[in-house]
Amino acid sequence: MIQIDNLAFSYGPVEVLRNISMRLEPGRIYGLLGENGVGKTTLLTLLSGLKKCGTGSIDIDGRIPYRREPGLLADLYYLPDEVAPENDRAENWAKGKGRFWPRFTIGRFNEIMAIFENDPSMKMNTMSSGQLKKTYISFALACGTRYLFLDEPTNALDIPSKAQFRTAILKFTPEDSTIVISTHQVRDLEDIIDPIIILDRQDVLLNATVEEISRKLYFDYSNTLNPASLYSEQLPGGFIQVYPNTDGRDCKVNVEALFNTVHKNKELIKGLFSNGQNI
Amino acid sequence: MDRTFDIRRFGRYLAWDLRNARNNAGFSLLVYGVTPIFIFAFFQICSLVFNGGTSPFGLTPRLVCIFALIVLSAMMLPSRLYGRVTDRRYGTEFLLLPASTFEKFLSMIVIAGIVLPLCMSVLLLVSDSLLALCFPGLYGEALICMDNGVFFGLDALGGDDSVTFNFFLIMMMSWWTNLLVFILGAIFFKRSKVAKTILTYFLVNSVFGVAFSAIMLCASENPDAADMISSMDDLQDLMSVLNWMVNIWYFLVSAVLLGLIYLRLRTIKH
Repeated sequence: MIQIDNLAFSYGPVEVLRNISMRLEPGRIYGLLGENGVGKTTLLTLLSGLKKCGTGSIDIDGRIPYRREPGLLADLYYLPDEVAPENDRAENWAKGKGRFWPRFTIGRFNEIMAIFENDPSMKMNTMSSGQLKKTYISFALACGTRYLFLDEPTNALDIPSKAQFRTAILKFTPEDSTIVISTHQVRDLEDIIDPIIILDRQDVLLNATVEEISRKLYFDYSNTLNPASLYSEQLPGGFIQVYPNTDGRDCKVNVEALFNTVHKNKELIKGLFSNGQNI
Repeated sequence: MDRTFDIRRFGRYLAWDLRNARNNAGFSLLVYGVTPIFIFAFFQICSLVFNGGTSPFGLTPRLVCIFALIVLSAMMLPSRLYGRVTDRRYGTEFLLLPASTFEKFLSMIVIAGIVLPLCMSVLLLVSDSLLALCFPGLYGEALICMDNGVFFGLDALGGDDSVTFNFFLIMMMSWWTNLLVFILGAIFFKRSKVAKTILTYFLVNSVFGVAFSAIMLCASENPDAADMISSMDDLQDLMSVLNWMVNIWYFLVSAVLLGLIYLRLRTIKH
């Protein structure tokens, strides 16, 4: 389990994260959303130990990530947005590097590479950016770590690869793993992420499960605007609108509409979800 | 102990690091190592064109060429091997590989400080021996076959066999500390690693040079120190003191550089 308490981080005088507290449970795929520059990547790098917390703390199963202890490092994998084109064949690279993660198997790596229709015998520095990203995703999933942090994993992926990514992540991650995916491509991942975390500048606006969100907010596709709507957007043939789910109707959460709703009604949404209250 | 050093994990890491070193710097090392052959060929072609015949290469140009290649490789190869640590993409991979910082540091020192000079020495000696074997008249005797103290052991000073100075050890220590300096530069500076390291090196050397000169000046004015120096009527005594001072200096410099490299690895962030 990951426990974040009053986390703050600054780049020199520029404060990026302030007073961030949350708990990340095992067996979940967290979607980390937020505008550019709110600190999504910074949070992931802090979680993986690439940066040191300014104030506050991050605790992963009683260990501090910044100490970069081999035991914890063998239990987590961080996939950055930009990956390195190594001067090596993908399979040889994975075989050599995978020896450091106890649950890694080259068979699983090759299986995921096959799902992505990626050739493991290719040299990584001759791959396209999409192929390279798929190689790293295959490696990340083949490691079978308990903590997996993915920063914009679907960037550079083509349309079929996005579906293959969803298949692979559901099939190849251990049930008890905690996965955090930072993304702007919410439509690529909205079927797999649950709970959803929305970061604002120096604040957490929302950290709730899809079930909790749909219990409190109603996502409506209709031709007429509801006067109580917190957010509405014109679509071809009608509107998507979000309003409080006062009568407990079932609905499918539209993550893009949710994001915009949260940003337009920050305080209301924070109050709604932090106290567990209903409107 | 497991957190800081585990011999099996270190072995695994060293093998991984060696493999990366071969992929990233193997070809460059090979080029540096066989450059004497190219220089010799170029010299003979020029000689043929301008003098109408081949000319003997001479021992001095051979030694200068080898020395220059050693210096050049010591400056360039550490950043080729480990300069990527400061790049966000490669650095993330490096920092998050499940091995301790100490193991990564040790592997870095073993590869850049021991394996690299060893491979460079072997390649240079092989090139030298090959040239000596193929062109004995033009190139001369192979360095490895020469019976002199320049490379192996204490060297006699000025033809006086009673006064010796350990040039070989000093050369090796100088090579080692230079490698450490350039490893530190490679993992410290983000851009223009070699140029910035050279500049910093000169600045630090100038400061220490001035400080050392000032200390020596003060010491020579001190009656006790002056008495001690004047009591050394034998030149060998003076040389022994100098040898000791040089050894202590290199030991201290190495310790400081190793400490700084470790500290940098421990605190590097991306």
